[in-house]
Amino acid sequence: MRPASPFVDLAEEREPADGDVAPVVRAPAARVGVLRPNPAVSAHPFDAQAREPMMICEVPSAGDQVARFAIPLRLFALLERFDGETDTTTVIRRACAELPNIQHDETTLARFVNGFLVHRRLLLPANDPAPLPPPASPDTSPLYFRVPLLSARAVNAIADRLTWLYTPWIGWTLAAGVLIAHAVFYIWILPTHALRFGALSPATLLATFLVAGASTFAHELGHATAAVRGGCRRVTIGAGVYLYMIVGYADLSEVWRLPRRQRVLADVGGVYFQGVFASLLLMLYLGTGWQPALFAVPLADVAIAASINPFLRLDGYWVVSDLTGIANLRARSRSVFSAWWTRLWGRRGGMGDGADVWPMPARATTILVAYTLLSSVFFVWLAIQLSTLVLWNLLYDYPHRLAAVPHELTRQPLSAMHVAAVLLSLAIRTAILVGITRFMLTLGANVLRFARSASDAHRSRNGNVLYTGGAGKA
Amino acid sequence: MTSDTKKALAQLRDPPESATLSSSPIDGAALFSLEEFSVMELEERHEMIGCCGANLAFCSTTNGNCDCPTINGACPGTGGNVGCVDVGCLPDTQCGTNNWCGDNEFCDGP
Repeated sequence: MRPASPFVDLAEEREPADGDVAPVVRAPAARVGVLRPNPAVSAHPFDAQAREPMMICEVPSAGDQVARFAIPLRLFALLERFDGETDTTTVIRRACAELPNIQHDETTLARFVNGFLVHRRLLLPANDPAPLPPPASPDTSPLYFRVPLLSARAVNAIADRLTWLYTPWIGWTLAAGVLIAHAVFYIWILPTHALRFGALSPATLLATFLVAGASTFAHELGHATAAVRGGCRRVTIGAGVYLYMIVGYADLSEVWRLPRRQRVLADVGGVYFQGVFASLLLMLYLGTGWQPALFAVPLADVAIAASINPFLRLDGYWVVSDLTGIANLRARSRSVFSAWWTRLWGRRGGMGDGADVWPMPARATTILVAYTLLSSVFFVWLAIQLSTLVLWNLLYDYPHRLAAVPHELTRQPLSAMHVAAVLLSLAIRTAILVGITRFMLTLGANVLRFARSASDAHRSRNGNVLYTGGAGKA
Repeated sequence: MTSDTKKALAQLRDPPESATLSSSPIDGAALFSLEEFSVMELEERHEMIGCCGANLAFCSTTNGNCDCPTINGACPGTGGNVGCVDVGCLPDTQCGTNNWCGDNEFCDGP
């Protein structure tokens, strides 16, 4: 859709082609006018692996969302030169003359100004009192269904009261306590207690269910509290579906502005809080004998163990991303994989040399390549496992689950607990099936795209057609 | 803004001795992409964890017992669901991918 602003009119958008790795905008043939910085944009130094200093610019966009861009400092310096009075042409010409490291000529900078700074509303027309809202950013969340449960305001109110848990001496003390509590649980308690979930009464099972849910909430609160302690105020908490998993999530997008050390703290904060919560549950059980508290401990630990997987976008993924300083780890890993795939067929991909679209120091690039190798192996393994799960388990079992619903509804006496159990069991299987089907379709589409790019490359090598890029998106 | 960033910004602003003013017109007809300028839109950070509690229902059946879905629909060596009732459902409750009821009483995966 073409915006009505006379400035943005000049920026002509087109649908991305298969080979594009980023949104593409056809820049205008000429630019005149006066531009001013968008006062709603905030900028911070960006702590990440790069070959030059970077800034992060936060731009409010449609639907109360915020788009975040990592921009080289040399180009941010150009942005700062727009004052709402000087003509755009003059600003660009002066920048080329006075900023020795800007690395682009006037023509290229004009494209940057119009194709990005104006298009994404980092700059606004100086004479337009009511500029159009920025275009919505693509949804990059891996959650295909999500429900916000706690607003930023509610999260702030709770997290503000818990930040003391991140006082260093308190944190280390509690972490030691968590380790001791778990040693007690696994060495002395578990061997002598058969955790028979099936032997629990429906009420106890339901209570265990709720306590385990509370433990998930504690986990997300741990992330949120660390972020709020670092100065973030837009953190929300919710639930959703990721691949085949029902998950709790904390929207921590705002932590990109924090130093990497604080980002890592926010990443591991979930495990920290959930570990403390599980330890409190254990103490509760030892003090009262309340069974749901005992049963929820291993549930919490299994969730924690799964969350450190670095290939799915769970906590482990963000820890790897922040420890290594490689932002957008998944997307860049896909770029590397795409480039390899294209090279395999004798052509270079659409991303320069194919290693990464964003220049980084050699060590970080090596880490990215290693991560790409390992994650490729993991996703092949996961696809095989999920296929097995769907074909041999969920689909096989699904008709029986479906038939159980009318059976329970017509049974006398009617049991609300049993009906709820059947419905919940069916709903979860349905969510898992939908998630896996979606994952498989995406995977299949990508395989087809790769196959097509390989075919194009092969024909190009034989001189039949010109190769058109085709790195694609995995 | 950190002192390092301020310093780098100040260096950028220093008037160059050998700056060359391009004489080309402001004409950008070529395609624009963020990568060309080393600009990157950062991904959303939804930090997630599987809800064990929610997936606990995966284990519950109409009779209140856990079942443990496996490749052949029953736990190896138990003749049915009973063997999985103990702790076999633990990984199952975690993420619903319990195909791995091993021959010990603990599930060995995922």
